[in-house]
Amino acid sequence: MKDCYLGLSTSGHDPALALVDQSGNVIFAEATERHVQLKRAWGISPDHPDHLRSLSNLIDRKTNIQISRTWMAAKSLPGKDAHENSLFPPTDFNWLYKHQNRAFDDAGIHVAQFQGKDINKINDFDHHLCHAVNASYNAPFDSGLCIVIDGEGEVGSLSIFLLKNRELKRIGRAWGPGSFGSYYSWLTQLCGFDWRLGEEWKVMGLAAFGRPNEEMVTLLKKTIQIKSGKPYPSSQLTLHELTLAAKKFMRLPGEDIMKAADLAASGQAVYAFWIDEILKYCQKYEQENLILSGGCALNSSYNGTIKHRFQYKNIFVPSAPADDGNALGSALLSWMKDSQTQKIPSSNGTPYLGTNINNNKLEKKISHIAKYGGFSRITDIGNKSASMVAKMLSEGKIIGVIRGRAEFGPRALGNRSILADPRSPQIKEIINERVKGREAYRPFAPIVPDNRVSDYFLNDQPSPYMSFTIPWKGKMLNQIPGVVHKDGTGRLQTVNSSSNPWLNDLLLEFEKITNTPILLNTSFNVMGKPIVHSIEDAMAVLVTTGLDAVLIENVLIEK
Amino acid sequence: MKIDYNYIIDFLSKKISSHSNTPLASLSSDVSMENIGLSSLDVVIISGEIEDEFDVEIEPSVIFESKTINDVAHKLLKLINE
Repeated sequence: MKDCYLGLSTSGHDPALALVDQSGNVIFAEATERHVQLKRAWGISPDHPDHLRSLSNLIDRKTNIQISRTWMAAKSLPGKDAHENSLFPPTDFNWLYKHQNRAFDDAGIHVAQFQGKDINKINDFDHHLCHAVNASYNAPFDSGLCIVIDGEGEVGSLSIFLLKNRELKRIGRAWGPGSFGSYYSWLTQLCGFDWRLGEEWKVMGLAAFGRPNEEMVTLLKKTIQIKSGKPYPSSQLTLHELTLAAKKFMRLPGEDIMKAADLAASGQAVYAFWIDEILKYCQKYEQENLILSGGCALNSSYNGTIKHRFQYKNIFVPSAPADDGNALGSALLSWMKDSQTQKIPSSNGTPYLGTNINNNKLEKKISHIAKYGGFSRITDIGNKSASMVAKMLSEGKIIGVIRGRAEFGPRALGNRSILADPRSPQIKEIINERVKGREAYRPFAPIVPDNRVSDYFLNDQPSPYMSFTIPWKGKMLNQIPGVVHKDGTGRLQTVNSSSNPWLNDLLLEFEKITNTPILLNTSFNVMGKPIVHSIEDAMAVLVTTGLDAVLIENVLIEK
Repeated sequence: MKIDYNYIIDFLSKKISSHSNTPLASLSSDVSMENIGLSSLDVVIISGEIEDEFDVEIEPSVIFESKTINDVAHKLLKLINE
């Protein structure tokens, strides 16, 4: 056994690193974008030298580290005819592949420099297997069906696994360029957004404002055909015709966003149609638990429609289902290899695996801010922080919270969040305009105690990582308009006293004042930037936006 | 169902014939793959069909680097028997 297992996400986009200890526990996992503060961190090494050095409490020059990558090999650059079956032009195709090649080939060079010695021979693992292991590690059950859906793995965009007593076996995979991930990126571009920045969210949110248009749906459906539960691309000629035909629906960046609402709704409906076909095909496996992983598992709008239409008792999506999460999957596979076991270890499900803000520099940094920051008030509110913040929120304040360890995955789940009172009819516009600087239509998510979900939502299901968008009960739009989307849904985050004690307390304190145990939660960032990583990042948002205050651990900094 | 060399050759020939629009009768197992007229998409689709038929996972190179249908069949049979 080695001292620790370092998984590196080597796709060229969404780099990340994860550390697993000798007992198979994940002791750290974080996307590189958080550390370097660059959205999706395209082209940046997952073992970024400064990021490595920030882990000096976990690894040093003497640590015997086993590195692993999230692909079996550097991808062969596509042949001259390859792009003809792709929705993307050859320049994008080559760009993606070269990014993957560089990330794969360079993995570990910074570890070697950091340690001043040669690294052990790197372990390489199948891309979709990394997705499946990452998800299964966190799943609250030992058996079930695990479906990986993304842009592309070693041979295609879909793998189907059976998890039995914590052991995974792949029972099918798709070959070829029929890719749901590529389709959604292409749709994002058609809607006038940027897939390189991961703006697929914007399409999902916009879909609620439109209605599927029959002509668009018919056209979009032709891009992929489903046969025996697997996606296949259209023939080359048809795909070319489709791309040209789709241009008439296109919204150019800068045009009125609502121009693309029907296109977004149509595109989302087509995505749902295809994944439904796959889930119907998979019913023959007669599993009661379903795990979704891969980048497409971030489609919370679709995920939220599964439970009431299919037979699954439990549906699980990990906090980081996309390629950042593969760092964790690959580190675990490396540990399993050395441990000579096929069994995936289990976790307590916590998504709080990243950098801890509560470190030995905290006090000094806060003293510095108090001395030179020019803020009106800086108060250590100690164990009253939940009740005091609840009161301020109920009075209409918008507060950034940075506490404990950062979330692993794209969602802010209370430790790097901006919180507000969802009862205010104006709160959406206020946060979008004054704080986030983003489009007015973008929705905000609710946090709800997990034992109260059925009081407010039509479907009762756990959603600890905001993976499911589900319909509110009838009158909620009037009560909490800040977290009800245009179509009457909310991207739910559930908490309890174990998963996040402070956040759970905050909801209870907020309920004491307002009779509503629900808060508005959005990621602590401004549009186009990753979620804040340091105290300095948080202060920058405080002084450059309409945010009212920031809570760092139990220290409240007010303007 | 007995999976042997002849079964695999028969399966591969039918798939290649279908994808390349080549009459089955004119496909010989020792003809060069390069000359059959398969596109790279045809090759990946056939690879998926092989996995589904024989319940194995194959490396893309098994087909891409094989010179004849015979070569593919031998590699596949070895994989199935492992």
